[in-house]
Amino acid sequence: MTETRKHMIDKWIVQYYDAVLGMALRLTGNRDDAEDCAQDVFIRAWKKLNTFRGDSHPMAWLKTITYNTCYNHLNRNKSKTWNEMDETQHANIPVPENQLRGFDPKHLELLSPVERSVLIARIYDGLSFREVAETLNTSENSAKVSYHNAIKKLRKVML
Amino acid sequence: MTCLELQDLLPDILQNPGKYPEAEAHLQECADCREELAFLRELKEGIRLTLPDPDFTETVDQRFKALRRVRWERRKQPLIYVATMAAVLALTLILPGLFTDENTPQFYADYDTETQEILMSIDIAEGFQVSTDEIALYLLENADMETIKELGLENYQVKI
Repeated sequence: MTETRKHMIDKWIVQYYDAVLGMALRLTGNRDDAEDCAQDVFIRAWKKLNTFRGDSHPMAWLKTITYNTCYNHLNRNKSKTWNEMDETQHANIPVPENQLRGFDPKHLELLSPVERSVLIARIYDGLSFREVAETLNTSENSAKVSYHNAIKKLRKVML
Repeated sequence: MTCLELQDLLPDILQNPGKYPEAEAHLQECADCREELAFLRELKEGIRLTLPDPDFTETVDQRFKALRRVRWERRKQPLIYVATMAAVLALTLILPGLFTDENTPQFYADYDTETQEILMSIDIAEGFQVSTDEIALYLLENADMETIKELGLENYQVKI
């Protein structure tokens, strides 16, 4: 591995840490877990650097590692609830009630780790079903089923 | 396009509006699908507002923490590598010596086939197959002088 390639990770930490942390926050739902996951993402990226193809965008590659890391984390910590953040952290965030139709972050706790990961990957980070399946090591069909189950559960409580 | 086909595509339309004319034509005519798209849009917005993206300045400390961890991993790797190789080499030097009259160090080529196979099967890292000569070469290039002397490698001629 060349020196330049070795130090790519350092550059990526500076450039993409926030994006990775943002994704981890949405998936784990709390800051401590998200920070642990974000750091693990860069360690894993460093360890797997020889599998990174230079022709793809680093963030696309980091995205799959982030989903995989967070999904494994969620599976290991099933008892943890989504959004354990201090309530005061939400205090200053404007929530236009008329738009949210009763969305409450706690609703995401109704979803299994795989349902939550697939849903957020699809509607928030714009991954295709194929990408979601590859990232979570499942089939495209299973990813679709999990996505539709998640939507069904949320519609039931939100509408 | 059917409603069922469109359901799978809705997140993509949400992400890249205008990119799917056929789907958008269906949306013009189908109130149920429009309602579903509106639901997804609001769900996405709900998640975004609840957990906003982190701010660069807030995460500077975490960035340093991540950098320190990656740098530690980077330093740790050769240390483990040298330590493992030193241990393997020490074994390969000491063990055969116990069974010979001269009690002199022997290298890879001097071992019987079975021992050679065991040595060749030692998987140091990600499928890297290692021979005694490779171990010696790595140690000569990376280990400190004291370790090299301790292992009696200072005059060793690498055959590869």
